[in-house]
Amino acid sequence: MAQGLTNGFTEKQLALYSSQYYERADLVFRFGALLTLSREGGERLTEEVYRALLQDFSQVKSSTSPVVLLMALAWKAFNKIKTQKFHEWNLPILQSIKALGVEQRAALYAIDIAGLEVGEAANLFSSSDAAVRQMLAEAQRYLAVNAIRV
Amino acid sequence: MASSKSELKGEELFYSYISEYLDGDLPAALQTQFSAVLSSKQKELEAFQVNRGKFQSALGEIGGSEALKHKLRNLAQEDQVRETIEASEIAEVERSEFWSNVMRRSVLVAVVLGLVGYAIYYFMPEKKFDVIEYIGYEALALEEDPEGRTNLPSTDLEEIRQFVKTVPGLDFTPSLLRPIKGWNPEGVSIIDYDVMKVVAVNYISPERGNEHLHHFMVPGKMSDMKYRGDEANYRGITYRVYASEKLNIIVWQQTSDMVSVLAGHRSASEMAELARAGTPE
Repeated sequence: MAQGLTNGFTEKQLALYSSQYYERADLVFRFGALLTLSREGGERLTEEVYRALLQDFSQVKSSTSPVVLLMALAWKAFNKIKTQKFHEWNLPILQSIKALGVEQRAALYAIDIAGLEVGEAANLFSSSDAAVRQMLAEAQRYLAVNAIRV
Repeated sequence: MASSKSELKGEELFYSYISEYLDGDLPAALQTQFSAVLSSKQKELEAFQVNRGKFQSALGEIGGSEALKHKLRNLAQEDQVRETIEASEIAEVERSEFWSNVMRRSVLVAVVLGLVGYAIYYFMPEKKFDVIEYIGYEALALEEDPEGRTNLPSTDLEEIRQFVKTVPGLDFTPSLLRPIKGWNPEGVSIIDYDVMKVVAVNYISPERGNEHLHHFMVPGKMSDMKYRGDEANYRGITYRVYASEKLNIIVWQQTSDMVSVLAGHRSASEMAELARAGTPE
């Protein structure tokens, strides 16, 4: 068996990273792409998330919910990069939904795609359950009354 | 996202909980309120259902580039390190497979050798040891040199019986003859062939001019013996007769695991009488 540390991580940590976090890179990327409406933005956000994750990875416990942690880091990363300009991704689904506000998109993704509870999303966004519900209502109304192209 | 609002009502409530409704997760407490709006929102409900599906599946089709994935992998473990570890793991698997192969082949060779051995044993001409062939010689040898061939000289049948019980390596339970009138025990001999041990109790008859009689106890079945001889029956004892120039021999199945052989100078019928007298009915 391979022994010792690689990039400062133990085998156990590498296994945890690989199976629980690295495997969810696309979940983070889609969130980033949806918020920035850009492939470039999605990749940038994803890289930020994983760099931040690995900075304190020794503190991450196996009992931590990877989705909740990744989404929290992704929201932080978005707030860090949101002023940057990225090439817009001419993807029909992103074009169809770009009229919706970023917070509404974030709430819709967090709850309906990532599967977070409203309370977890409220913590993530440092907001209240009611505010998240409001954002979600607006996002879902958008889907109900607008044409969505894919 | 820091705004705060009170409980949702009407349309806002409807759109906020529309997913839960479609997923069957609408809280019971909201059922009435939701239903009140639902009747006027069937078209929107259907449109939402379709668009939600489109949204989910279209997003599910996109993903980060390979370059991004590679970068994310390298954040935790550089390629060179990973390759070293993988090479080490592959080498370990190869070592494990090597020993596994060695084991498998060894077992295979052992099985083949076992089969070959069994085949040789099975097809080898049978070398059946037939003790009757030797009994006549043994009886004569006992007469010529009784002292040199007797393990326990004794005239006490009970002493002989106890001695015989302690003989190691017997394949049967020895069953001595009952006392026979006119024939006195004079000792017991243990004859050790490679394939079996035979017990012989030697008798002498002073009234017949110190004539000898030998009772051999042999393991096995009479039916397994090679020489068949003439078969006769005397009062329930089925015996076979073998004769040589100097001795007569009769053989009978005395117990389930023991064949008795009586060798002496008496006639076969007389010896059958002695066998009958010495064997419990």
